[in-house]
Amino acid sequence: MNGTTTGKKPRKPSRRRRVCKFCADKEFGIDYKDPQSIRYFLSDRGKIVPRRISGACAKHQRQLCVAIKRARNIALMPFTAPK
Amino acid sequence: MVQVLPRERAREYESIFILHPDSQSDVVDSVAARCQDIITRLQGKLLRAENWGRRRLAYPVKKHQKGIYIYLRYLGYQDVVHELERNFRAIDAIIKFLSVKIDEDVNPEARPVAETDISFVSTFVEEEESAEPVMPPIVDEDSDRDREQAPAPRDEREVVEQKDDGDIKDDDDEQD
Ligand SMILES: [Zn+2]
Repeated sequence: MNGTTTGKKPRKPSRRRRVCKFCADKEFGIDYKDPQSIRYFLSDRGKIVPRRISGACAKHQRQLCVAIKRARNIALMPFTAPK
Repeated sequence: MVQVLPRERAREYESIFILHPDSQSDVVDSVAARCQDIITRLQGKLLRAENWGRRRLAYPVKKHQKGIYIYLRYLGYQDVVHELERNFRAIDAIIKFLSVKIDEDVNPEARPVAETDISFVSTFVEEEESAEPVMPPIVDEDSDRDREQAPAPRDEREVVEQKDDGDIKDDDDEQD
């Protein structure tokens, strides 16, 4: 009974980006006026990508959220999936 | 109006407003001039004015697919944003606006204004279509979906299965 589906399997960590993009590159600012710079953190449905996927640290994820919401407010970014 | 901050300190704000896509340059000019009037009348200072040109909107605003973006950065006191936004609402050509406080407490002397920074207010340049590629429509990119969408549910399930003793955030941190 070497069930591989039980909770104890030694998971090969399926790491995506473990390093926060904004911590790694200090030049890379978070600016709601520049949607290109933060588009990566939006899914194709227009949702904010959770940081366990994007790899952003907590601090920058918070800033990112504010930036995305501002950009949405002024129609630089979509609220929902574009048709 | 009550002044909270002494006059030697000011707050820094920025406002973006979207004009009706068919606005002629004289409309743009007059709106920009009106904004500058308001800011100076309330003892603020216009630091920067930019015309981003006619851009595609990320979603329709009042049934318009495009709009002319104007960006203003200025110093002011608590009444300046209120007065500006009151005018934004009153101006028919403005279909949407957003104001953001950038800095709480700045010394106006520390923010010199170059003439060119606000030159657009007097000389509006025709660059409406050139701004097109700045905001491309968000398209369904396969690569995006692979990276951000498809793996998401699987990742979540794995986390839930294997870590009973911590929440997702802890799990995230421990892997580093
Ligand atoms: Zn970070």
